[in-house]
Amino acid sequence: MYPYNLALNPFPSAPTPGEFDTLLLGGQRHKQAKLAIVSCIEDLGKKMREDHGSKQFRLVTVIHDVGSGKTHLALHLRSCSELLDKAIVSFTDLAQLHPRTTKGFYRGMIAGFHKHNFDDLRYAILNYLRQRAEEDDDKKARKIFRYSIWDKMKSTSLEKKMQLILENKISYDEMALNEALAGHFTAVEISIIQSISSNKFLSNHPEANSLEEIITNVCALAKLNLTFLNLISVFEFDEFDSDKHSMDILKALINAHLPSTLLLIVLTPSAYEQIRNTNPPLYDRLEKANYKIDLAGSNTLDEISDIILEYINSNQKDKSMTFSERDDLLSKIKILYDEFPDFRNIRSMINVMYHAIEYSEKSSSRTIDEQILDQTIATVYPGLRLRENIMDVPVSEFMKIAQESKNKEMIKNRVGQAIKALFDCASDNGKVIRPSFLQDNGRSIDVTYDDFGGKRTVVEVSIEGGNATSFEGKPNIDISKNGMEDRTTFSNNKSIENLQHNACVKIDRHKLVDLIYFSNKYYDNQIKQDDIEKALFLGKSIKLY
Amino acid sequence: MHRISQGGEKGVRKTELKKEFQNTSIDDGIGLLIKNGDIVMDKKGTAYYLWRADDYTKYLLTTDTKFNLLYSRIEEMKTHLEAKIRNGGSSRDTGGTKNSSKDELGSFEGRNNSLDYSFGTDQISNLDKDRFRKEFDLVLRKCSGSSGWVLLSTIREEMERKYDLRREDFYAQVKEMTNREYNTYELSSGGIEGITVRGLLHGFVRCI
Repeated sequence: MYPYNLALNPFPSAPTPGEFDTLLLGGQRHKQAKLAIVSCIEDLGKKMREDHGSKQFRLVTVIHDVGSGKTHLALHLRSCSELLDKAIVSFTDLAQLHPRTTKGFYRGMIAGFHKHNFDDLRYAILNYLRQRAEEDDDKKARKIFRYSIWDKMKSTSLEKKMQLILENKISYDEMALNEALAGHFTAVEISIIQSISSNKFLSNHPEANSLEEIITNVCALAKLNLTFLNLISVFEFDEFDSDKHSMDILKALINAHLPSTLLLIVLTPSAYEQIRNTNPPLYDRLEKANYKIDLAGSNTLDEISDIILEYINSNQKDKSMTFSERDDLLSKIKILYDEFPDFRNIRSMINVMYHAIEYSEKSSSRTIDEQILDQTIATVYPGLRLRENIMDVPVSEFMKIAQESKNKEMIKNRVGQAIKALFDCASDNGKVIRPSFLQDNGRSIDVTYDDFGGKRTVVEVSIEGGNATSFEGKPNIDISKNGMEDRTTFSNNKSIENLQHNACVKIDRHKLVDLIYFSNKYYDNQIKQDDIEKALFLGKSIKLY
Repeated sequence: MHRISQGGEKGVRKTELKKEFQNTSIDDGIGLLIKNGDIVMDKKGTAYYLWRADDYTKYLLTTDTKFNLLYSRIEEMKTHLEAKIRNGGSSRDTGGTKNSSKDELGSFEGRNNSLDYSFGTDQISNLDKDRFRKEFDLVLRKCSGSSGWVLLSTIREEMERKYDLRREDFYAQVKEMTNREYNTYELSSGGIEGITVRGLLHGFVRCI
């Protein structure tokens, strides 16, 4: 049983997105980007309807870093429901095209369509011919279906004959098709219609050996898509770069103003910069793209969290996540995101989630808990460590302490205990001479610590017994900006003069985790020599001595 | 105030606020905040919008070319003056205050006559974090094209014209700043120099 009542693991595990993985699109920014493209296509369709017969063409660019979800977005457009009745989409991954010859480029564009796109086109063409044969009693059109007097006597309908052709049980008359379409379509269009009608287009389409032929063929195909399916043709080029041949072809395609067509170019800022340096005319054209799809913030915490929730919510059986499960998962994602720069990236975080879901299933856990994330990171990213911490704090402990720090009273007491433990440890190991420390600094230490809620608290810790007293600080006081913290901002019943005599230590949230982790081990008698050395270093780093 | 600050650079439409706080009379509160200088109200199209003062500055920087130029110029002058004050203290002590001020003024006038936005060559070896960020943002804004991405090397070169900044110091500051402000800056792989993230050289930056 998968956690969160999931029927299966919803997260993909692949270095790049596949066709199936992209059925879903999560994240506000990615959804907005999709809406922008859909709106561009709608605008193109509107202009086509308003100005019948005009050659409407659009250019769209998506420029962002690797792993930001560009390919996912492009692939998603091929299957998204919003475009089903508006566009027919071809996706070409240029990274898979080698060498990038003219012929190869064109083949890639054709192979980028789904097979069912051509099945639909085939049906639409044959249906159009059937209607012509029936409505006008067009003899040439009837001949295409090899409709004879014998068929008429047997009451075989034209529709039946068309069905048999679609099922590849009988063939149609190619000569008759040429004759019937002559005058209505160009030679290239007829040639494409022949290939599609004979169901051989993907394997045996008219070749394009030159730029002119590519343009002619693509124009013809776009026209057929519009005529028979009333759909706009979208050609997506993923991993576009500064390969000379690719740039020449793209420039030609843009200049040709392919009718009822949208070109969507996906590239990285680096590739865009190289194009700028090597091919200014193409760069200029790309700069003038009708739409520039902005995926800014595609790797922010909000976006990544949205995407993860989208995967989970879309795959839950009958019961959705509870609010507490959701909040718990989001807080864990936040910690991973904040503490590991490696996970500030959709692809990496999805990979973590994939493995965490698998481990949860194996351990029959209903949620992804701290231990599971610990296990996941240790197994999948064995070299990864919490970089800011001095102690070897496991991720699970870090998450637990971060969670506990939300309980203000509890964490206050634990900070007090931890400081005492650290002071005792330093004293036992000769780092601090207790009597002289007490003489110089008094019996208490003022500890200022940041918690995980962005709040700063000051606690006076008695290192010679007694309880800790705390004075809460204003949230988000930045010592580094303001210099010394203004003690008068803390209301308490202890005199400021007394406080000023105490030693002061300041602890950021990483050191807070270190301190409490050390303290837990210290009081559980689990401290080893290695831990002592790190703890002594920790004491020095917070200027305890 | 919190709701207005959520609007960020785009601001919040006043009518939207009124709808959201139907049961409260917000006009007095808005008036007071405007009076205190915490927020700004301005027209965008035909509607009135409200911004936090800082956000309004950012809004103007992206929408008003004149303001942007003026702002850049003032920042430049400020930096120049600060540098002069730091480096030129001795000349003032020897009674050259009047003349040196005149010279400075003259040089500013000269520079202001030209629309070419260029940095001086102030010798400031150590930029504090805030100052570095301000300067970085200024150059980033100036250099970003339609895609928003800028080569880090371009920013470094621009900043080096103004400051005595070593390459490694520049990238150390960028690394620290982008790591800290990861919701503000985005990095992209590629380029000839930059910082390494996830084992990849990242040589491009943009503001989110």
